[in-house]
Amino acid sequence: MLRPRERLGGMTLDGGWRVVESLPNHDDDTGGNFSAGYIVTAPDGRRHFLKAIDFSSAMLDPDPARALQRLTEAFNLERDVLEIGKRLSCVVTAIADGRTLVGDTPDDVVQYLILELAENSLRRMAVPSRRLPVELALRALHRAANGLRQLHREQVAHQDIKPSNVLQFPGDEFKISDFGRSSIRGRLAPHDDFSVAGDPAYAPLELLYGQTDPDFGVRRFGCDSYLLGSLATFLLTGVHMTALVISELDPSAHPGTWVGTYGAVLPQVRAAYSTALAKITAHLPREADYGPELVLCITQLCDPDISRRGHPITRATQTSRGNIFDLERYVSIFDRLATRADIYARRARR
Amino acid sequence: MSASVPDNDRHLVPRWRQSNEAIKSGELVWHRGASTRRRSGPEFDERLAEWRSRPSIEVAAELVATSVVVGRQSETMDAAKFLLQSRNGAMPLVKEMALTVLGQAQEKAAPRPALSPGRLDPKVVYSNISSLRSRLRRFPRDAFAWVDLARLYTVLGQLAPAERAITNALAISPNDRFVLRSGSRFFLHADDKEQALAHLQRSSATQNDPWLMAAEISFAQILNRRSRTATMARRRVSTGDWHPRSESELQGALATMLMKDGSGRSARKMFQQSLIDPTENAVAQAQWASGHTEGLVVPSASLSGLEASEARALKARGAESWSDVISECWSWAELEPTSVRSMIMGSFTAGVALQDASTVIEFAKRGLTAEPTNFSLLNNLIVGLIYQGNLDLAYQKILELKADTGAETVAVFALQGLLKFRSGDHSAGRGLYDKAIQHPEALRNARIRSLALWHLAQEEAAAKTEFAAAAIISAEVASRPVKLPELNAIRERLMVPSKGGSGLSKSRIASLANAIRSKASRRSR
Repeated sequence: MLRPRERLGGMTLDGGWRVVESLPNHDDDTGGNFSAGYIVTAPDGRRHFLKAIDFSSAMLDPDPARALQRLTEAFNLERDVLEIGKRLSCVVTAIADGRTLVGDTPDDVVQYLILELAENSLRRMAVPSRRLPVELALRALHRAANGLRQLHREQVAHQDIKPSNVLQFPGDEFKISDFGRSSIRGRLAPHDDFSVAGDPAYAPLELLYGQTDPDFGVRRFGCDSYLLGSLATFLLTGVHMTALVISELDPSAHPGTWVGTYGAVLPQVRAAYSTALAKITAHLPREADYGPELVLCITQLCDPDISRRGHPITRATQTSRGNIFDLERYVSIFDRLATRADIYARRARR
Repeated sequence: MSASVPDNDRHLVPRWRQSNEAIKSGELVWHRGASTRRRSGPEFDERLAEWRSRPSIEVAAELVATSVVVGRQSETMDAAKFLLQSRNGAMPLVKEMALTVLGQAQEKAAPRPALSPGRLDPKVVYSNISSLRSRLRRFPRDAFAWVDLARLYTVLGQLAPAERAITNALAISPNDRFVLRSGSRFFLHADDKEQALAHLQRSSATQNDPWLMAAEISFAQILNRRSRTATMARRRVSTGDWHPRSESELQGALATMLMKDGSGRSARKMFQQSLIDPTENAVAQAQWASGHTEGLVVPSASLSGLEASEARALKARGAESWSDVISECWSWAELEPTSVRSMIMGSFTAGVALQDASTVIEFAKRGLTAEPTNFSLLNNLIVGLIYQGNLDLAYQKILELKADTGAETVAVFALQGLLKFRSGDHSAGRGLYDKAIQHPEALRNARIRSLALWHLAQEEAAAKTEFAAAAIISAEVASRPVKLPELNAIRERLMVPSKGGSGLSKSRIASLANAIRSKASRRSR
C-alpha cells in the first residue's frame, strides 16, 4: 500500500499546482528521510520540484509522540532554512509550501515544499567512468562553496553536502539543496544528538570516531568545510575523501572497530590522509594546471585535525567571534580556477 | 681474543618498526572491548536497494565507497566486480576502491631496506628516504612519516638528520604511542637515554597506556632510576583492565625489574603472565630471562611466530645450534635494522663458534652502517679480517680502535695477540694475550678472561706449540663457572685430534683440569 506522501500523483494542490510526474528515485532520497519527489506545474505552466513529507511513520514508532515531534521539527527546520535561502543566490529557492489531504484519516495529511526544478545533480553528472569537464566541475565547486558561505553568514550549517545535493540549473548554474540535516545556530534540531548529522558515508572523520566539539561553529561549520573538500575530491577522482582515507587505514583503526579516542588514532588517520592525498595528486590529469592548487585546498578543507582545518590565513585572522572556517578565500580561489578553465575550454573549442 | 661478547643484559625497550608494520603488528590497537559507534545508517541499505533495482556505474561506485566507510564490504562484492568489469572503465581510484572491497588492494608497505637476509641495500634506503622527504614536503604534519624517515636515517647511521626527524614527530604528536616508543628507541640508539626517559615521563599518555608504561619502566631500569609508573602499573595489571596483548610488554618489563631486584618467584610468575598473548619482544625477553630465572620455560608456540627471531636466536644459542643462531640473527636484523644487537650476536657466533670469517665480516659491516663507532662490531670485524688472512687491513683497523673501558683494552690486547700469532710471531702473540689475561678487568670479569684464555689456547693449538695443552687446561680451569655457550664450541674443536686440535682427549683435559683445581683449593685452605 502506498504511503500518503506517495499518493499525490495527478492531484491539483492549493494555488493551482498540478502534480504531473512522480520521481521514484529523486536525489533527495539518498539523505532525506520520509520524503517523496514529484514534478509539479504552476498555473503559468512552469515546472517545479515538489518534496512531499508525511508523518505516518511516526505512528509505527515505539514513542509516536516523540517521533511525530522529531519529524515536524525536521520539516519546520528545513522550511525555515529554505526561507532564509530565498535571499541567497547559491541555495535552491523555495517557491511555496503547504499541506494537503490524500485520504480520510488524520494520517493522510501530506506536507510539501515546492522548489525550483533542477536539470541534474552532480551525482548523475559526474559519472565515475569519465571526469566531468573541468570548467563545469570547478564552477560547481565554486557555487557550492559560495552556497555554504552564504548559509554560514546566516548562521546555518548544511552538514550534508555531497554530489546528490549540488544541483544544476539552466545556464550551468549550480545550487546547494536538501536542508533536512541542517542546523541553525541557537536553535535545537532533531539530529543534534547524532554525532553525524548528515550521511555517515560522507561524514568528516572526527565525527565518525565520535569526537564532537561543543562549539557550534567548530563542529558544524567545520563539518561543512570537510564536506566541501570531499566534494572537490569526488570531482577529481570519483571517490569522496572519507572512503579514500578509510580505505588506507588498517582495519584495526577503522571507526567501527577503534575503541580509543580520536586523538589516539589521529596520527594513523593523518598518515592515511597523506597517502590518500598523494594518490589524488598522482591521478591528476596531466593537463591539470589547476591540480596542485586544488589539492592544496582539499588538504586544508579536509584536514583530519579540526584545529588545523580550513584556510590558514582565515584561521589566523578571525577573531574569536568570527567563523574560523569562513569559506570566502576558497570561493575566490574556485572562482578564479573555474574562470580560467572556462577560458581555456572556450579557446580549445574555437 | 676474540670476538666481543654479546650484551649479557636485556631490557624490554620498544621495537622500532616501520609505521605500517607497527600498525599491522597490533601494537597501536586499544583493546578495550567492542566499539559502540554506529557503523551505518539507513543510507547504506538505501544504496544497496538502489543498486539491486537500478544497477549503474554511479550507483555501484557510491555503494562501494559507502561500504568501505561503514565496514560492510562483504555485501558489495558484486558492485565492486561490476566497476572493474565496466566497459566504459571507472576512474583509477574508483577501481582501486573496488579492489579494496575485493581484498585485492596492493600491499602498501614501502620496500624493505634489507634485500636478502640482513644485507642492507643503501640504494633502497636512499630511495625510501627520498620519497618520504617529498611526501613530508607536501604533508608535513604526518608524524608517522617523520618517524619512518628518522628510522631510515638511523639505519644508515646518520643520527643528526634522524634526530631532526624524530624531534618533528614528537612535536606533532607528543602523546602518540608509536611516536613516543619510536622516539625513545631513537634516543637509546643515539646514546641519550636521559632524553628517551624524559620524553616518556613528560607525556600524559604514559600514565594510562600499558605500552608506554613498559617503555618507561625499562628506560628507568637502564638508567638505574626509579620508575614513575611501576607502582601504578603493578596495581593496574592485577585488575585485569587491559587485554593480555596490551600488557604483555608491561608484564615483561615489571618481571625484569623484579628479577633484578632478586624476587625470582614473582618475576617468574609475571613472565608467565606476559606470555598469555605476547608480542615477539615480550617472548624474547622471557627467553632471555629463562637463562637467569629458575623454572621459567617459554612455550614453543610462542617461539613459532614469524617475528620471534630474536627469541629463537637466543634459544638456538642456548642449545648451541650455531647455524640456526646465524639465520635467526639475519631475520632479527631485518626486523630491527636500527639495532646492532643482532649483528653483534651474529658476528660473535660466526667468529667464536664457527670461525666463519666471511659471515663475521658481513654481520659486522652491516652493523657498522648503523653504528659506525660500535666497539664490539669493530672488534669483530677485525677478528673476521684476521681469520680471512687480511692482516694488513686488520692492523690498520686495530690502530684506529679507541678503547674507552677496561674491557675494551683487554679486547685490544687480545686482538694484537691474535694478529701476532697469525703473522707467525707466536712469542709476541703469547705476550700480548698474557697482557689481556692479566689486565685488572680480566681478573675481575671471568667471562672476558675465559674468552681470552680460550682464544690463546686456540692459537697455540693451531700453531702446534708446546704450550697448547697447558693453555687449554688453563682455559678449562678458568671457564668452569662461566656460562658462555660459544666457549663450548672452542672446547669441542680443540679436544678432537684433528687439524688445529690439541690432540688431547676430553677425558685427559678434564682430569688435568680437575687436578689443578683440587690443588688450588687445597692451597687456599
